[in-house]
Amino acid sequence: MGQVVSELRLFSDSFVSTNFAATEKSDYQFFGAHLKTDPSEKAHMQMDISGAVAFGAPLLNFINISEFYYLQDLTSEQKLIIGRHKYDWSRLDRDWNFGLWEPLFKWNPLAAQRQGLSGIFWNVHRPQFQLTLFASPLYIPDQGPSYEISEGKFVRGNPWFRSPPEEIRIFGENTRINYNILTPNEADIVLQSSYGGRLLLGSSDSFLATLSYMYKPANQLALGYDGQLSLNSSSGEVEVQPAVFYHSLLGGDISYRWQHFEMGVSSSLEKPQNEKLFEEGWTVPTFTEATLTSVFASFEWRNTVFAVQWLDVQGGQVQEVGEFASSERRALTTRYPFRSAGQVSIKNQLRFSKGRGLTTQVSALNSPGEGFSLVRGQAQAELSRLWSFYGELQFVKQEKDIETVTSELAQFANNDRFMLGVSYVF
Amino acid sequence: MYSRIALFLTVSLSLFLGGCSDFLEGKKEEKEVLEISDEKFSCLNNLPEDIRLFSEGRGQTNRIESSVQCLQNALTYFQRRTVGAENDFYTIPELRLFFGKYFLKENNVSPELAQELMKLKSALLGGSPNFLTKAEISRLVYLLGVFKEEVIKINPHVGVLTFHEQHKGISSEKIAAAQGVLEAALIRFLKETEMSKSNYSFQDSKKLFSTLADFISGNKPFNLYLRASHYVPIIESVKQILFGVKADLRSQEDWNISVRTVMKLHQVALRFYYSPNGFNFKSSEDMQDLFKIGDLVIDLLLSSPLMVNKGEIAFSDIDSLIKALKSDGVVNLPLTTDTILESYRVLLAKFLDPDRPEDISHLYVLKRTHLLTLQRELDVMRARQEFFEQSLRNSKNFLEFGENFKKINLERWLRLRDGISVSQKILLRKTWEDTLMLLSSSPRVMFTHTNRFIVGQSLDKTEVSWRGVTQINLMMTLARFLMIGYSNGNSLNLHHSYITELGLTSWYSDFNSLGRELKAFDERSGNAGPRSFKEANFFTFRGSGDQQMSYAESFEFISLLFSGGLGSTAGIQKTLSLEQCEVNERDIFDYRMFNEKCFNESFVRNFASYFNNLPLMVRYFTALSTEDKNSFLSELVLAARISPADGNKIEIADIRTMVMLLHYIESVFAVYDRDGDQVLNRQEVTQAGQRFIGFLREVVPGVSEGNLYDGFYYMVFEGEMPSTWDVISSKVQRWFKVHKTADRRNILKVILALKSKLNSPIESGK
Repeated sequence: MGQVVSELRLFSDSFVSTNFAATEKSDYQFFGAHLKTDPSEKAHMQMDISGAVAFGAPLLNFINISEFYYLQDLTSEQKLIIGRHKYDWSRLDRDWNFGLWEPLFKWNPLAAQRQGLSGIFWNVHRPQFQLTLFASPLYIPDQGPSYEISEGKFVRGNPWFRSPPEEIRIFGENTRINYNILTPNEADIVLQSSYGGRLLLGSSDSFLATLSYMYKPANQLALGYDGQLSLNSSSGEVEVQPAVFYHSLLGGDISYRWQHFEMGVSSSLEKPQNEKLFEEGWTVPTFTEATLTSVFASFEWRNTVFAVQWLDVQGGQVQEVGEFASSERRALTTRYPFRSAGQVSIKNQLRFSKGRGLTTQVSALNSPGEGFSLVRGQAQAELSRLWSFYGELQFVKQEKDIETVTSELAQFANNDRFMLGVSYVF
Repeated sequence: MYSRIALFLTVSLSLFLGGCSDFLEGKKEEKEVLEISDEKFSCLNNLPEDIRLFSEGRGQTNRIESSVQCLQNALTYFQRRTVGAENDFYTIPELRLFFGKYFLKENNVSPELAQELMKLKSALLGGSPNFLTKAEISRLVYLLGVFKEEVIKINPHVGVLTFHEQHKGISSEKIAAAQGVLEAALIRFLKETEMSKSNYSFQDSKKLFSTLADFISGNKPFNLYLRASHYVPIIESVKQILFGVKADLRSQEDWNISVRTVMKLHQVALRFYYSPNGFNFKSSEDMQDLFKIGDLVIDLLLSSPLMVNKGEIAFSDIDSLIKALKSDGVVNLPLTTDTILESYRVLLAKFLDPDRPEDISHLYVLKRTHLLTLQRELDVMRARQEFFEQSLRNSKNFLEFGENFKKINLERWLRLRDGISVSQKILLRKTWEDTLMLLSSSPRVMFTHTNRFIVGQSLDKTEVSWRGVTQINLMMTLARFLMIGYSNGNSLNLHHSYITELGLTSWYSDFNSLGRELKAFDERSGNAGPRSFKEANFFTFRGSGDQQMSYAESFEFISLLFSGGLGSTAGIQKTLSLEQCEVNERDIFDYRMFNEKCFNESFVRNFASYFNNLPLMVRYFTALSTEDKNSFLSELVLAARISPADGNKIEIADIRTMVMLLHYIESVFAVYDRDGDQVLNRQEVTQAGQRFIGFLREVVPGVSEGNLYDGFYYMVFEGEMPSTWDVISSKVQRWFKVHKTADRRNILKVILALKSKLNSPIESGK
């Protein structure tokens, strides 16, 4: 194992929207740690694990194992990796944190983080190409915000968890819903096979082309549900069942770099398998094929990188079918965080001396089609080799004349977050 | 260096945050709500309209199918989408909670109604009345399928089955076809449901209806219920008559019998309602309808569960039905309830009870024998009608009709009919003989097509009509009943039976209330039995003037009464009213009285039309001079008047008597004016005198036979009561064969002279 950088973190989240109402509290304090090895070091074991405990808000506790793998060089050109490992299967998926190829850590959906696929990776690196093959009997879906059900109701303890409708309208009469999540056997979820590969041609310094294919379970779980009206309690008894559905992905990237300038296009074709996942009579999601395309360009000037990119999703709708389905309400199953957006970002790294520096990154994402904007910023000031201050913000704005919120991110228009923390390396 | 960086960061952050105020403001969240689309239930909105169309006979098969399908879907959805405290069933409070919250927010089902509905559920689907299981809902969905199939079959017949005006006059075959479909549907439904195993009672359904009405009406009056609730006592009474107070239906077969009983009742109502001419008896079919309805009613009662099981129906139950019908106005007779109750008891006791009890106070039940007697008499009347219609076929006049009747081969007729018992054959043979006897009078009993009794000599070639012969049948039937009830014989020997004056007095007494309320009896005359007895003996074709009223006398007297007392009088009353002869004063029957002058003028003017059934009387009257007409009329009024003779007013009772007197006079002429010269000579008067001599013997006791005849001659020829000298004078004239004749006016004068005597009872033994 290479050297593990261990970091203790103390940070505070504040939800600063005037209409924040997801939880009673709007400020949360965390104590956490981050363990990470340096991939450049030729060590067999690599990891990137973080976690935190929220004071007085157990639903906000998290642990994020984004990478944890064993690396074995088979030859000078071949590597074997076993475990959870992030790969650039698709530039689009990486840059937009779309969770299409690789799962996401969505503790905070406004700042989702990639997680690696888990399995066996065989990598051949030759000057003309790189080939990666992947296979796995295991599946770990997106890691979403935690939730808790008490007496049939979702507890309001996690601002990032969007609970499904709390009431059902029957003949014009609103009726309270009691939820019951039918948790499948863990083995039924986890023991899912997947395979795929990537061929990379060219060099990242000039022309680069990649072609990827993957057949695997979607990183998002399909949610089917069914309900009955309890005449005894006069409440809607709704059962929700998560289920794994498969899709095949075909992706291709083409990029060209000339000195400090880079531009390219990335596209993915997703073909979901609409197999029968739920009992007859349930309200279930159905998926359509999608073509996702992203164009991007970046310019690096001294310590600053300017980037601009555009994403568009054609197809890929999630439509619920069943007695509870409604075109006026978002499906419970989420597939993409949004469907079209443009984003500009600036990243700056200043080094003042050894162990001291300031890294800032600001991005602005706007989706005219879905009527929302997201501004994200993060900064880390390294005061010494041991101490750092850091902060984050995510501000979302939802256009007021939008009647039905279709984007997952736009749901959090009242979750504008401002975070400040301090870390200590030990 | 650091200060520049800090300044840069501060400025950047301030600008950034300042520009983010839009972001921070956000938008107030709206709760998402799951929604069950009620689109699939929108079809239920069409249900009331479809029910209405169906009930009006305008239902469409596709709409019925879709409506029932909609109901089935709604039930299935309810079954699938709801759950009680227990998975498999719903309790009453749960169901009430559901309907109260989602459908009946302002007026929830009351606990009582819920309980009654569950009782019905239990009867139809089985199971406990305390909860509804999901399996029972499945069963209900299935039953709705059965219901749909049957309703589609019934649909084309709904108009017929529900008494729609547009089907008036529909054939009995179509009624039977419609009923067949309905009965098959009900039997199938009974078979498919658990009704036959349940103990669901009429009281339960009554309570359900009542609580349902409370629920529907709330605080507002519910017209349908208000209307329907009137019928509840009637339905309950009918139910008690047919099924008893507590119907004991224990098996599928019991229920099937009950359905058939109800269907018979329904058939009676349908046949009655759709009778082509509203029982105006214009054709043979009308009579067949009447007989058929009679058969149905008798069969309904005979085969009713109560009669089958107990052999009797309590008068108290029949009383209840009559009271209910009367109070609801269904029976719109000008009779009080007490009179109806009293009269039907007498009818049963006198006409239908073989024992003919004098004291009917111990008669409490309608027995099987009563119904069998009624059926027997109906069969007699039907057979006679058939004979008459057969005889009528090739008859142009009453002479041919009579001859054709004689030619009927009764034995062949009996052989061609199946299922006639020996006793029925005997009865029919007797009846045929009786009929032959009643038809064989001279002059004949004949009726016009307007039901007027034709009185006159040598009128046998008067045109015969179906209505005329049917009226004869009706009169014979009434006479037969009178004889059965009040003669000394029975149904098999009426030919040789007779009614005494006491018997007829008893008849008047038994039906006194009925007669008075029907305005047929005049209380000022007391019991009209003795007078009627005399009139029947004196003025019928076969009147004998003796102490007995034979079958023939009864038949002819009743014919005279109906034709004259009812038919002609009603016609005159109507004409007088049209001619505005009415005055404000009302008579004892509450009829308007008539101005006497106006009456006189009208009577003279319309005499020919009033008495078109007395053609020879019309010829006589028309030939009179004006002065004689007025004299004749004033004597007629004087003989008939029961009201005070104040010279100004005439009342119905007077007119009725006048009409009867004219019929009597004409009857005497029809019988005794043998030479047809329109006057009675001494020989004819002598023959007539044989009829009246017994009466005269009582009026003038202690006079010899010869003197009585001489007195009678005097009375007839001179028109006044004789003195001793007059008798001697008459005797002398007889010796010297002085030709004397008496016309109709003379007979009228005789009646006038004997007016007070006619009302006195004949002393027995004289």
